[in-house]
Amino acid sequence: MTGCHSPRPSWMRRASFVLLMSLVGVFAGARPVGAHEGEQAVAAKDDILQAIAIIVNKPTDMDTIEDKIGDALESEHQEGVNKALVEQAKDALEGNDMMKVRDLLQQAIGASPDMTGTDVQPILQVPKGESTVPLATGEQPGTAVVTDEMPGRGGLTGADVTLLVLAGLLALAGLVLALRSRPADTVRGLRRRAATTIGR
Amino acid sequence: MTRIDETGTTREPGKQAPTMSRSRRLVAAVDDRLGLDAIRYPVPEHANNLAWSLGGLTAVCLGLLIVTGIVLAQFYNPTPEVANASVRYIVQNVALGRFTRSLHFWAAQGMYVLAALHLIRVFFHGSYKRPREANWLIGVSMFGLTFLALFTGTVLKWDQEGYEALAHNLETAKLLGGVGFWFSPKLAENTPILIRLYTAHIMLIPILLVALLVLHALLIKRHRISPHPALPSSVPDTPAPLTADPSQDARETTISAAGPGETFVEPTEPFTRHLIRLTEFGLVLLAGLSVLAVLFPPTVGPTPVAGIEVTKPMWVYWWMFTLEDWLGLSGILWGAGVLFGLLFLLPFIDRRPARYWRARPVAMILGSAVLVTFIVLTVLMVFTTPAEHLGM
Repeated sequence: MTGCHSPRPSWMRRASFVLLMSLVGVFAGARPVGAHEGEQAVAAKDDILQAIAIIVNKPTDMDTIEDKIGDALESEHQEGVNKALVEQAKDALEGNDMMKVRDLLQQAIGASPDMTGTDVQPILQVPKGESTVPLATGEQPGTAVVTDEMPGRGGLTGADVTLLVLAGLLALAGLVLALRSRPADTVRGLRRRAATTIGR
Repeated sequence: MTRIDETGTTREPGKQAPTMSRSRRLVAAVDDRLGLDAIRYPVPEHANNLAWSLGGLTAVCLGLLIVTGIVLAQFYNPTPEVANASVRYIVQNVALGRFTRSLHFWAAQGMYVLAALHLIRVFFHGSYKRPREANWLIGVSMFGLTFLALFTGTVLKWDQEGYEALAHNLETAKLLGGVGFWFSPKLAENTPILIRLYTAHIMLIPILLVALLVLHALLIKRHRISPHPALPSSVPDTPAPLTADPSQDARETTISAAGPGETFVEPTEPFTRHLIRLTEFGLVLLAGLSVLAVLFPPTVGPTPVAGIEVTKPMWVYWWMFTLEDWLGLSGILWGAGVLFGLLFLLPFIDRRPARYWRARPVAMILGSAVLVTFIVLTVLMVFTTPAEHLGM
């Protein structure tokens, strides 16, 4: 056996010290989180994009959607926004018609409505002059239209079944080969042999 | 007069060369020029099982990621306006695009999980101890790079989740001050940060990973595969000496207990045999990942909008985000710092030669505590509604 016991493991103290300092570091580094630190005036167009994104990502969060639409209506920067359509969206929100809310908000900022979320062509081909979003730089997302989530897959296609069959064959081949070439001894077997040999 | 034939063997005149098949001669000729025979170093029998092949399987995943990544890179457009749409294009319009992307997605998670299991195996068997400390550091660095590759890959799909991951990263980098300069959009104001992350994902990180992998493999060859702590081995476990004569390097074909009356000899096989076994495991891994890729392909999220925080990250980051919920953004930084700090410091803290787990109770308890903390923080995220922490 390679291991030997030292009477006083000094590394234990070092490990404890490192762990303690790490934990102190974690809690010392914590600071109160300011949710609205450095808040700046937000353009109505950005508020509307955010409202649409919340409808898409978290449609049950009615309060935030309502806040964002309210912020958009109150914003001093109304460039590129059809305020009347935003008002209509606000009314539609009260009627819980989320599809209509989203459609109206998209129209309000001149974005083409894309309710299917599966056809990418309209996103790639925003007509010239219709997009008011300049090319993105830095950390800007460059988003003109908030699309729906695209699901992973629908039903299994012929190609899917073929791939699954191929995967099954691969797994079978791998397992058979791995079983055929497995070492003569397991670690337990080697230990037994070692114990027998050394004890002899 | 003595002659030297094409395989480098000296022969007396008049004597026939041993008959060699054409393929053997080809292998010998290639080996003569490239020295491939060097990889036939002895591997002890205990290393030919699944647990000791986890590192190799991690490399298999890396290979899969490189191949699928090369295909995806032909169609992906890293411009913010169309990045999300180009991912949808790959899924819908490119032949086998959905499968290729999905295999890339699952292979990335497979690589992360296998690398973590490999680290745990190395920790459990004390394989990071002298003389293998440097290789442990290289392994931990590769694990960190895997984490970075996962992060940059998450951002590249440029959906709400990926964008929020980036926003967290940018805010966390600000806490680092000047050290986080690379993640600052101000470094190159006219270039979308998405493009810079793309170059990191397809170039910087893979180059570093492959370079470290080569170093990792060379150091394994230099130090040999670590002995199993439950089996007798030569003591102390020092590296094989370098000699001027390569044939002398290959002389160690058995690992035996050194002691009077002890005659146990662990069988060995050449590393090429280990590679074949790894290929067999790799086939099963590829099959498993392919099944996941077909049955559970990843979605493509909505195009991103700044200023909101409405998604949960990929499960790999959940432990960090629980810390963020508790401690604010600095929790991410401190969590990663503590985990990687402990991993890097481990061989310098635990320097006792004992490798068998029963002889290392403190290491086992601390290691288990870190693992349990990691799992608990991850599971807690399932039941947590993420609070907004970004100052957007």
